[in-house]
Amino acid sequence: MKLLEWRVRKVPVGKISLILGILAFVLFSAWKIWALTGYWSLEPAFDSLRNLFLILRDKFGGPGEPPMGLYNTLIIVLKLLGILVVLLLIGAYSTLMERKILAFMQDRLGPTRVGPRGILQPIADGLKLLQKECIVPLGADGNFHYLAPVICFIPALMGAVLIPFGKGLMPVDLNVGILYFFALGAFGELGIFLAAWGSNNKYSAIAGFRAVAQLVSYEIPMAFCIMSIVLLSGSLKIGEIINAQIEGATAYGGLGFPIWFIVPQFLGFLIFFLSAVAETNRTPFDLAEAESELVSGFHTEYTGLRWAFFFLAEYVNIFIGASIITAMYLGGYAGPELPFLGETLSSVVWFCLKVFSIFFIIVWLRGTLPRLRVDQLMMLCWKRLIPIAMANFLLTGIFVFANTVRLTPQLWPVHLENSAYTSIAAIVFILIIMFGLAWFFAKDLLKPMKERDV
Amino acid sequence: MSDPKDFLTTQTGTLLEKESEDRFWLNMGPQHPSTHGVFRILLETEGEIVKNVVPIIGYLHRGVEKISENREWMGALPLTDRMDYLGAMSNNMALTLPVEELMELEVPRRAQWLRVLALETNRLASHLLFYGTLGLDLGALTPFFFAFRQREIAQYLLELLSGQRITFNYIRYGGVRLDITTPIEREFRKFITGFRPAYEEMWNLVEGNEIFRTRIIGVGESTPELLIKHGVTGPILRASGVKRDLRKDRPFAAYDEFDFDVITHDKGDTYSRWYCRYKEMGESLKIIEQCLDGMPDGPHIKKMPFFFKPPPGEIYSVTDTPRGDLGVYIVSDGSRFPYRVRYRAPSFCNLSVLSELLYGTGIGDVIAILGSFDPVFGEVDR
Repeated sequence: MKLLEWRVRKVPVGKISLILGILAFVLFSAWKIWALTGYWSLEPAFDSLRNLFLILRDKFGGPGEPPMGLYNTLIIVLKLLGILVVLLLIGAYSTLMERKILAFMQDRLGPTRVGPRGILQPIADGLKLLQKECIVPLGADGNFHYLAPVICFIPALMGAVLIPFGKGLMPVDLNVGILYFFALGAFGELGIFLAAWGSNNKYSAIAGFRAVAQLVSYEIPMAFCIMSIVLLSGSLKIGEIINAQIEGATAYGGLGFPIWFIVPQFLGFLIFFLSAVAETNRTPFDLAEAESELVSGFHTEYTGLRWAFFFLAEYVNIFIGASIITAMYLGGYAGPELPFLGETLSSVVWFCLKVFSIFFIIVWLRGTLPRLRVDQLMMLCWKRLIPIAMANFLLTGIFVFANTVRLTPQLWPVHLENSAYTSIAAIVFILIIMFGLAWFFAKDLLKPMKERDV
Repeated sequence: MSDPKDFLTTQTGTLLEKESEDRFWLNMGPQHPSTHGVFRILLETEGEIVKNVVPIIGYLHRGVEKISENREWMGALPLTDRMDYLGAMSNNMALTLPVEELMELEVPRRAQWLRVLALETNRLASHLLFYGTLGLDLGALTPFFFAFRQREIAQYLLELLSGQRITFNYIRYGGVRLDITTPIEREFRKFITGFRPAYEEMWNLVEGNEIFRTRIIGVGESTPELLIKHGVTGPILRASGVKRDLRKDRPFAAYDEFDFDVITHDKGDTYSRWYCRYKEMGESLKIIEQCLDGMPDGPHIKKMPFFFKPPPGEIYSVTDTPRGDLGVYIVSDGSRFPYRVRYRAPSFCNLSVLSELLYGTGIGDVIAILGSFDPVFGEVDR
């Protein structure tokens, strides 16, 4: 009587041949690189790509010329196509990753049937959804019902131009970068509300009310955290924020010493993280789609590809949120150069690692926590996060001011004999106050919510 | 029935409060992911706050009581499995008990002990399901898988014992259908050793989880007076501090020979109901262990003819099930068929207090409270 032994063990021929094949491919390419260039690097591959672009540029016109040359157009189209494909793949494969991580946490296997270890599952899901009929319920507002997934999905794609995939691999470094991210978050929520209203379903309507209330509340602590970061780096540009963490100073300000902003802004990191989870409607803040309460919330009446667009938008939003957190607090693509990969590729690897760890934590929350109630959600935001974020902002301001005095003592009327010691004392003082405040609030948070708020 | 108000005035006549512009009717069920089967509640809500509750049942009515009258006594027994399909053993027990009393049957001692073993394993499985579904109702996925891994093994043990996974038909008039063997006993012991660490883990998963506690503490508080007024029994009543357990108060099977505690909690809220069910799992485990250690020898059933005629008479008897007191009233006219069988289903009586607890709570709490009641609609509608 064998209990719970479901898997039959046998020699994994397919797996071994796959590994051998990959090994052979890697060895062959390494030999080819060696034979062509004489040193171990992937840079030649990039060089040849660069040469291709240079040839194109010579033939079809260069950047900066008044009529936009074919070269520039081609580059922009290629960039956009690349982002689109990468984002769609990320959106699809995030679902597989989430299912695998959840399965790991719950001692299951997760999807295993489609392809080796279920690797093709997202594609099978996509094909299935493609075939399904898009049902519009009777009495629904057809235009809104049609527009909602589009309005949900487009901001998610638009947000992708901000993502600093690696050193020099940022599609556009907008000068209002972080505000743009902020604005897109609100735009996406409009789609949810349209879906809720256009579905002519009471569950959807309740979900829409919840989503809007949640968005309006959680944007406030988020904004405070962003302002603190802007104070520290002196810029709204994502590239500059990353530079401020790598090099310590930018053209606009900075601390004067390189440090990832998670260290001086730990509270801000926690609050921003929670708010980002709430913005993307994830557990424990997934009240807008609360499956056990509101059936499926705002997408109850959606099927097929329209539903898939909501789904993709959610996962792309998670990815964008994780990227912004990485850029703002974890130094973006900063990291030591890896062997054989070159500067660009190793920065991409570091960025992906950081984003994946944030994604892992978000899935971890889903595997651990139940959903909050609506009033508890609001209380958490208005009574806990917003005061802490405001205090954090104030203290950051004081900290940045003290630091500026330290860096440029000659500019300030107060003459300090030994400015370094004074500012270190000030920093230590501020740190003590910050940790004191953190302890004060955390102590309060340890009590059950019932005792706290009634 | 387009307007729910028509339904209320024509069918039940319980339109409680004056209608208002800010309210709307929300129809929850019978097709809803967390109404635990085919339950339908009409909620009149003001925003998220519930102002009016109309529970509607009857979507799973199969006429078990009437069908029983057209079958022999032995044929009425499998029908009880289909009532409370999560605790089917205790339903078998409930019908067996009055018939044996009417016929003045002497049940062998080993049979009684085997009954206790089966009943408690089934109670464990039922409470494990409750543990998982309460987590799902609150939006947590992991407790469900943690509970179901253990429940799967418990179902497997019951399958070894009775030959069936869900509808056991194991406890018969005069004893039990099959005897326990040494390999099966070994599997039971393996299960017990494996269950203990998982049991601890399950406690930590909820008790150490701030949001879980926040969602269930103080939600749906009830007083013992209210519950007794509505005839509520089982873990829900014990969760409000009333120490009533028929296994102790009026022992059936061989429960008077076992050492176990009746779990109570004083708050009467969703957390207390969770706590009582959780702790009862531990007590069940204790009883199963005692069963395996001291299983007496002897026959497992008193041989009975398949068709038998009990003497004319009527008897009402009550047993304890995972959901409360299951009462059975039987009338025999001395023929091969029962003249009348009537069940007092615990889930049905427990649900009657639901609308009083739901008033004034939010939609999220409605699901939590309903989940903490752990109703089985096969039993409510019969």
